[in-house]
Parts: sequence; C-alpha cells; structure tokens
Amino acid sequence: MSEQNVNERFDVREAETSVSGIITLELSGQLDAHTAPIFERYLEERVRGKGMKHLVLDFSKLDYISSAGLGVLMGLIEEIRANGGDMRLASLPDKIYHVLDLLGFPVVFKIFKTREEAVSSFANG
Amino acid sequence: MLTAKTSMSEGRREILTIRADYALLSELREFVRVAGSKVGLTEAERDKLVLAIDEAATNIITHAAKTHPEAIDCRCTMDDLDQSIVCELVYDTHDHFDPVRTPKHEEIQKRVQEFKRGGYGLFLMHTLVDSIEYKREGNRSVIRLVKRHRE
Repeated sequence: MSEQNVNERFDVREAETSVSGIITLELSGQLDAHTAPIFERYLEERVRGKGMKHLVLDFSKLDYISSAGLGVLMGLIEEIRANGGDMRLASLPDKIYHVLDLLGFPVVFKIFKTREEAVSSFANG
Repeated sequence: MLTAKTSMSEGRREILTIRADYALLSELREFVRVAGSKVGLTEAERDKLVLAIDEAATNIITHAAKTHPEAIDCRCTMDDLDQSIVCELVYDTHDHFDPVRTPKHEEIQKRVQEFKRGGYGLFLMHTLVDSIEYKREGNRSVIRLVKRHRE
C-alpha cells in the first residue's frame, strides 16, 4: 500500500483558527489500524515537535473510526494535559459519537457540537 | 503485489479472502457492509457489524507475527427469513485467540479513566453484534459473529 493510497483513505490538516494559540485539525476519511499511525505521527509532530497544547479535532468529515484510531487520542491526551493543555473534540457524526459513547470516552474528553464552541471553550479554561 | 483478495458467492454465502494486512481492512469492511445490506440490516446495524468485524480482523493481524496467518477468509452467510447474517473470519493458526471472554463494562471504564490506549476492541465486538463464538477447524481458527435486524 503506497503512502498516496493511505492518504486517499485518511487525511488530517490544519484549519484556520481565529484564536491564537489554538490549533484546529480537520480529520477526514477512515481512521483504522492502517491509517492510525499517520494520524499519530502528525499529532506527535505538533504536540512534541512544535509544543502545541491547545487542540481542537474537527470530526465532521470523518467517516469511520475503530479502536485503533481512538487509541491515538488516548496515547497523547495525558501528555497534553500534563503540559497544561487539552485536546477537545468537535462536530462528531452520530455514528462516531456512538462508538466513543459506548466506551465511555465522553467522561474523559470534552466534546462539543461545533468547532467554534470547542475553540471558544478554551477561554473558559 | 499490493493487494491479495478473492471473492466468490455460493448461493447465499459470500466469501472474501484477503491477505492478513491492515491495508486491506477497508476492503473487508466494504464487503461486510454490502453483505449486511442484502439481508435488510439498517445503516446503523451495518455500521455495528462492520466495526465488530474490523476489530476482530485487526486483532488477528496484530497477532500475526506470533500466529503467522497469511490470509483471512471472511465467510458471510445471509438468512433472508431471519434477516440475519453470520460472518466468520477463518484463518490459519496454531495458537488459540479466544475472543469469547468479554471484558466487563467496569474494566473498560477503568481503562478509559486511566487513559489506556488499547484493550477496547473485544468489548466493542461483543457490544455491537448479537453473538460471538470461537471454534477450531483443524489448524484454522474461526471467529463467528452474528448480527440480526431488529430496528
């Protein structure tokens, strides 16, 4: 499987954010055991390489997630919070929210209906 | 060769064979999604079946270095009267991976609260389908998942 084909299935890119210091990442496609390493490398670059610690993940264009994708979120959230930041989730399609809800992820992740709500939530701590 | 798959139909049974490779999970998911639609599963029911199969196949591939399965057969048998589908993942292995042990909900809650990154797949499999069985066919292992139309 070439990198190009992998990227056709999953993509993550930085979106414009009006609030300085907050990075918004748009996820699209399918996040499974094959594509999760791409997402993990991308997140690690931003969190460990660039020191970004206030992140909003926009799920609105994500079609699919398995536990391998969820593991990427779990793998970095503790480190981000230890550095005084947070990773907040926004615009989850119902079928993806259902998977997170089954596992109890809403207990540990702050989830918002829109990207804007997630971004502005950082102003309240 | 980038992909290794074959598919065939035997009446109401359809079979897809893929190499044990994460890169082919999306093709397995599409195969199961189409099979589920043929017995009238709703979109939500298909989503659950597809995720359960993905989690089971991911588990098989993850342990492949130890158990050496080269290929995974996915056999889907459709029952129109019962509006149910039986999907069996069949693979060569000498080791026993028994997915019948169900993690308790409390165990999963604890894992989440401790920020554990893995250990969720088995719980999802059991939660998303109506039943799971494990059996051996010679040197092959068979994980059998059943999903019925209810909604």
